[in-house]
Amino acid sequence: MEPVTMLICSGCEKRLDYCSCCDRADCPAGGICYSCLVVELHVSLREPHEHGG
Amino acid sequence: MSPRAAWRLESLGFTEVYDYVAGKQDWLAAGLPREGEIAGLPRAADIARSDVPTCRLDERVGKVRERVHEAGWEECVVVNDERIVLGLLRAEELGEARDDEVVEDVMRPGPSTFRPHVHVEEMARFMSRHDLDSSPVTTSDGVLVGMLLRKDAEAAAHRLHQQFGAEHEQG
Repeated sequence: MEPVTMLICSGCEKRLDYCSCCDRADCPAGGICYSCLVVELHVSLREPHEHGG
Repeated sequence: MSPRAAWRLESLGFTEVYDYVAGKQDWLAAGLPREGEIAGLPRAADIARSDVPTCRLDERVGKVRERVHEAGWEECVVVNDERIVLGLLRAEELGEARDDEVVEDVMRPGPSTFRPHVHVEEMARFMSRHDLDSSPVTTSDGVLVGMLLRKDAEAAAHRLHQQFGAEHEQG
């Protein structure tokens, strides 16, 4: 029986079926979820503003 | 903030003021003009190849493969009439599918895409870490801007480092 590999998001440690960066279930970097990816790439902020803007 | 900023600008005498409701990130993601200290740094859209072959969902793989190879590529982006990215045919799919198969049946649906305003250094770092040779670049609305190749991102990042190194040495 083959060992079950599981991706864990490098940002939030959420379990993943596939990596949101490379679309692979066997991501060489261990995987990252979409939410953490857009934060890492500075496309989005985790908590943009505490104030109302 | 932006509605108040717009009103403030009008109070200062500006007569043509607009509030871009979708926000700054969306503005940048659409590849619209930018200003500021780091505005000149290369972004994904600056080096993404807009000549990447495209095809439709209902095309036959054989014809697509022929067209892609003639253009000197090994992959193809599946788009609709609005140029929205629907899927991707990488070398594996193009190589393994039969000529008479339909693109929709063999493509990778909903591929990961990157926004045009991401810095090339970030892209090079991620593509290297995830062993990703290429990735489509799209606007927030999903419109294809081009295909970013890892070798292009790494070369651009390298040039940037050399440029900053030289400027640092000159003081």
